[in-house]
Amino acid sequence: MNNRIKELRARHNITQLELATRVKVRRETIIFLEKGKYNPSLKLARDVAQVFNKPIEDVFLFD
Amino acid sequence: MNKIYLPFLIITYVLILAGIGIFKTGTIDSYSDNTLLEYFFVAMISILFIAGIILSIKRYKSEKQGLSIHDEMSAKIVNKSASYSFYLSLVMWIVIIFYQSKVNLDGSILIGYGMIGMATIFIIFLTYFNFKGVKN
Repeated sequence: MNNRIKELRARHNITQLELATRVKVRRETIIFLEKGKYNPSLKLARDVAQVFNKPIEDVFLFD
Repeated sequence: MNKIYLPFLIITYVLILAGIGIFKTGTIDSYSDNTLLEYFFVAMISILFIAGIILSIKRYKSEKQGLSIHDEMSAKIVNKSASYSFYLSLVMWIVIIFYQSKVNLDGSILIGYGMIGMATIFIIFLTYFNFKGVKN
């Protein structure tokens, strides 16, 4: 599963640390998410998508 | 209890274990017929001690930045590390039982080695998955 977190973060001018604080996870989790090394739970995916005001399917791209 | 203090407790536990081990067997040099095991014991204690220090620093930094210490990924990492270390620990105990008659050590000391070995295996897997990440 790929995602557009890095791209959306850059567009919204949000740092990894800020995103981690807003979705209440560790910064390492955001790093692994961006690298595609971690598949998030539905709740975390929804929380991340809400930060960018996008639906989940616009942030996380299913193969 | 605040989870930030957990690594400090682990470090204290390791130091107490090391202290008991050294106290029970005398000084490290005294049982020279098991030199390899002595070095192995010291190496395992060192790995646990260093891992505890690194974990403590990481947690302290996260706490200072207002980030959460535990999240869903860290829980997955702990679960995966525990399951992998369980299987490897089984193999380790089989090896210990196999070589028990060949090493001149008391049974309780061998159990101590085994326990520290289990903790070391778990810490190694924890570090590995912290760097590699868990996909599922």
